[in-house]
Amino acid sequence: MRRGFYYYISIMIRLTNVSKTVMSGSEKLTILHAVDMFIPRGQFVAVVGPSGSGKSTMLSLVAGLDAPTTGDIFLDGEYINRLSEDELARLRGAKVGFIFQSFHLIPSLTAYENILVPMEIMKLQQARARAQKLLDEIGLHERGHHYPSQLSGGEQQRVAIARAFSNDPAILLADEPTGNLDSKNGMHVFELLVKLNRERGTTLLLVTHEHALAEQADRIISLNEGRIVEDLQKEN
Amino acid sequence: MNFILNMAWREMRASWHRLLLFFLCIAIGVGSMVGLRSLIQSIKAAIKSEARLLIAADVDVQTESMAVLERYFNSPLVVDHTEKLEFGTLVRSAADPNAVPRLVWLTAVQQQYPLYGEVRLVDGQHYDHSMLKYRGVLVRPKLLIQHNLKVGDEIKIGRLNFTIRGVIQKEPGQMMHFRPAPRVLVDYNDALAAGLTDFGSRVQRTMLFKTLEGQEETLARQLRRELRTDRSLRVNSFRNREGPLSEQLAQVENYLSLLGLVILALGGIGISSVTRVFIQQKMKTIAILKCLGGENRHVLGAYLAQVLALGLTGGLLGLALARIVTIGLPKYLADRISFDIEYGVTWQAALQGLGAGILVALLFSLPPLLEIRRVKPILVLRKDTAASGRRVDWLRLVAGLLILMGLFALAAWQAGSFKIGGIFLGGLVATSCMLSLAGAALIRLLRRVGHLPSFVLRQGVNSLYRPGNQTSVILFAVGLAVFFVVTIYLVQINMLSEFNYNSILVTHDLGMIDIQKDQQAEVEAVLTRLAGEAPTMIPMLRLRMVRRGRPGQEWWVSYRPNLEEYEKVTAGRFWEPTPSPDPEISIEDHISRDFQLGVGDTMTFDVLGRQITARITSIRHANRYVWNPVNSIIFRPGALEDAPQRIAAHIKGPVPAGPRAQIMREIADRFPNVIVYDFVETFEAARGVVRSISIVVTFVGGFVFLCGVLILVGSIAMTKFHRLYEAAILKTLGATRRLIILITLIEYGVLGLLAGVIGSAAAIALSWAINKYALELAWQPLPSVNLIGVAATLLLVTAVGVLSSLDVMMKKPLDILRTE
Repeated sequence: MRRGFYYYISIMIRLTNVSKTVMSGSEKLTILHAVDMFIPRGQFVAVVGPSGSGKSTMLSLVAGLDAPTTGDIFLDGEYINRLSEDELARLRGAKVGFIFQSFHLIPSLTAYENILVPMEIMKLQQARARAQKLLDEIGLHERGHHYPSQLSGGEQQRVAIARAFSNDPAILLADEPTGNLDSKNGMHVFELLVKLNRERGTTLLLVTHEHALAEQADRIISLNEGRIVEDLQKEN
Repeated sequence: MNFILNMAWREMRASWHRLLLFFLCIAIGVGSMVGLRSLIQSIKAAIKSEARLLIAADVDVQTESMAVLERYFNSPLVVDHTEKLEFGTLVRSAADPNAVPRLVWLTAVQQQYPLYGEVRLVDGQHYDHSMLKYRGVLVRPKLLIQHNLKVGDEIKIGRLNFTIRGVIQKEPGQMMHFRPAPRVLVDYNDALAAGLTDFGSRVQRTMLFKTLEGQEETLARQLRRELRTDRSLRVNSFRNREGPLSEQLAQVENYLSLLGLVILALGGIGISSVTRVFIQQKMKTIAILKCLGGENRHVLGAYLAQVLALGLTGGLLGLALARIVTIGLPKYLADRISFDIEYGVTWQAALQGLGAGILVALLFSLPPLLEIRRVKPILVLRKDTAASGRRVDWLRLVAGLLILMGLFALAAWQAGSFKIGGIFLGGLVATSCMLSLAGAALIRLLRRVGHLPSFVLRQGVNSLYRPGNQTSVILFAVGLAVFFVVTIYLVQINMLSEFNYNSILVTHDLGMIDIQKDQQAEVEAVLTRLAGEAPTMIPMLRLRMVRRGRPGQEWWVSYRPNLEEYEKVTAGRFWEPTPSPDPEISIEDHISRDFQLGVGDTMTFDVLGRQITARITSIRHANRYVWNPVNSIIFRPGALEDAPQRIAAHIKGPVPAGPRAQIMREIADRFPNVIVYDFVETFEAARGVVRSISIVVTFVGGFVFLCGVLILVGSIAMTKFHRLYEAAILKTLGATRRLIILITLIEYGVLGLLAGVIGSAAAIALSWAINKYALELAWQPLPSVNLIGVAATLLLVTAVGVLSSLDVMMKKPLDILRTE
């Protein structure tokens, strides 16, 4: 019944009264305070704010990596609060792509295999051909057999981007994707991310410190001390 | 499935070196299990395929009615027959009149011998009965060494001299010869001519028959039927000889496999440690996989597949190790087993070992693998969220139960008995609990010691409680290894000292049997003259026990007026020295136990058709190391003096070799039917047997210790990350490399000391129990062995600890702090 009530065909992410409180020693610490937010399908949203403002926490809640203390979260119309760990994993595999600040490639796998993994988990057809194509798209055709430790930071992040797009996810979550890169490499990676996002019409939630990057988004949500303090929507 | 297999393969490709210890643990366990089992199975297979060689015939018969057998020589069932004589006798070099005579086990054979198989001689010489003709003798290599002789030399047996014509390598009918006396082979007629079979000699006559194919049981049945009144009859077909031998070997095989299982179970602990480290190192990869949509079953499946693959690879490596064992050990056994065996890893043992290896790998890696379920994907964003809270994890409890059930099933399978499986598991669990509790108690004690004066000491000891410490695992695993090895040595040394002639009071060390009544005075005179004291002469009578009116077992009994100094009365009262017309007997405690007889009960014996019922008036316990062939049942003088009897004698022989040899020489020359036992030699032979057993046991103990070391290395690797970080901080704060080395030395030194103390202390208890209850030997504490055990463990653990931590000491602090 709740699903029917909140289900909007155009809304990809919806947070209602979502808060997150953790224990810090013996004291309670609220990281997010009753956040309400919805993101329509295909929108590119940048989340900005100082360190400790709750950006990454919000991202982890959206991805179902963590459970909210209060409130409801819907992903592509699906109520995720009550899903089990495995159901959440399945949801992520089917609908969510991830890009992390520190890349988080699996060190024991080659670049090509890292891109292949999500497709293998979801048992996608022609995964190998698709992984090869994505390698071409990110310009690492020749380096597919290299391990992460043999790639530069920029190259690792490009592999991470290809991996995030490999399942053709409806939602892409990026946590400071250029944070560990120099400005030139960072810009290159960001442009690749935006290009692939535009081509595939993915809903992109980007957490960043850099205003220059946030400026490229359709919408900028500013967080401070766990509260949304500004929500700027660009005119088309 | 594709993902699981692909992921497992890719992970293993990258991390095989980290899992090296894993498959080494499996390999050692499987290797020892398969190796030991294969050895016995090879022997069993050889016995089965060459069963006729067990008796060198289809049927062998020992009977007092040899005349009856002659009727069978022309039976349509019988194809061929031959007779052989076997007995112990003294042999010495004929060329040297001062040579020491030594006991040999003599076989006298006829032309047709052997009916099956062949007598194989060294240097490729071909055996033919003509080699024995005209006083030829074939000997074992040991005899040549004992007497410093060579082929062509002459030896004196009985009244005659024999020429050594060859050296026996293998002969049928003697599958396993663990007799201390070497065997010699002579012609049947020569043995008779040498006076060795005169009245009074303890000769074992055996008639061997070759039958028509498949008729051996028919002949055996006929013989048993016809000779059923002969109470000393023994009829064996090769088949009923092979059966019990195979059964005994199956028991040995099962017990050795259990030893292998102990090693495998210890390897399991190593596997558990290694898997735990591995999963800890893979936390981030697991979290990433979960972020990418991997469900628990996917990730768990990928790591379980790795465990399976490693278990299989380790098992295969174990089979290779087993092959080495089956190449190495037979060389040691070659002198003792005189038939051809193709040693190799048997399919049955290999499959069992592989199965057990994989099962142990799965069972023991299960608890750490289950940790995968608790790894949260958010770990990729926040380091402090490694696993969910500490609720009761039912699945882990189930895994623990599964391990116990699996071990029980494995033990019952390997031992071929649920009862032994249960005892094995109970023992293992009890030992584990005891060692773990002792470890925990020692650590608590150490924590209470209070403020240690030096920083290095404090830091070293504190390291034992650092987060994620493996102190209890190391204490348990190394303690268990020390426990096994020290126990083996304590039992071995205790056993050897039991057989040490010098360490026990031997009141009589030269024994003689089969002295005839008419030889008694002469033998007594010879012994008194040469030894300087009168020997103790012991009458020997063979009486048949009568139970419930029916004739039963035959016993050698004796009579004497007094209690000997090597025995004491445990119940009743020993008689006065005066003869009594009322028959009285005194029995040894083992007879009392076996027949449930006490003081006041009676025993009836048949003496030449006359039944004598004697009342038990006392029960005695005798020192078992004083040789007396008839001590079990003693009559009070007055009842048996007139019955036919032989005499045994014993004496404290002179210590110098010359006079001692002279006694043996003179007895051998003048009384060929008398057998002389030199207990100094017997004790040496017994020590040799103990040493042989200890080699096998030490080999198993070595495997256990190797497993302990592997576990130690694995456990050290588990805390490496913590130690790297600690060392980096200490270095940043000004600690020198020397200081870090000292702290590491203290840490592992204390650990080694504790493990050594726990293992050694437990070994004292077990060795005492084994000596007292299993071997029924006297036990003495051997603090030097325990001290050496503790010191060796301390040194080894410290050395392995420091060597495994070299990179902790060498790495630059900045690299570590950056990655943290």
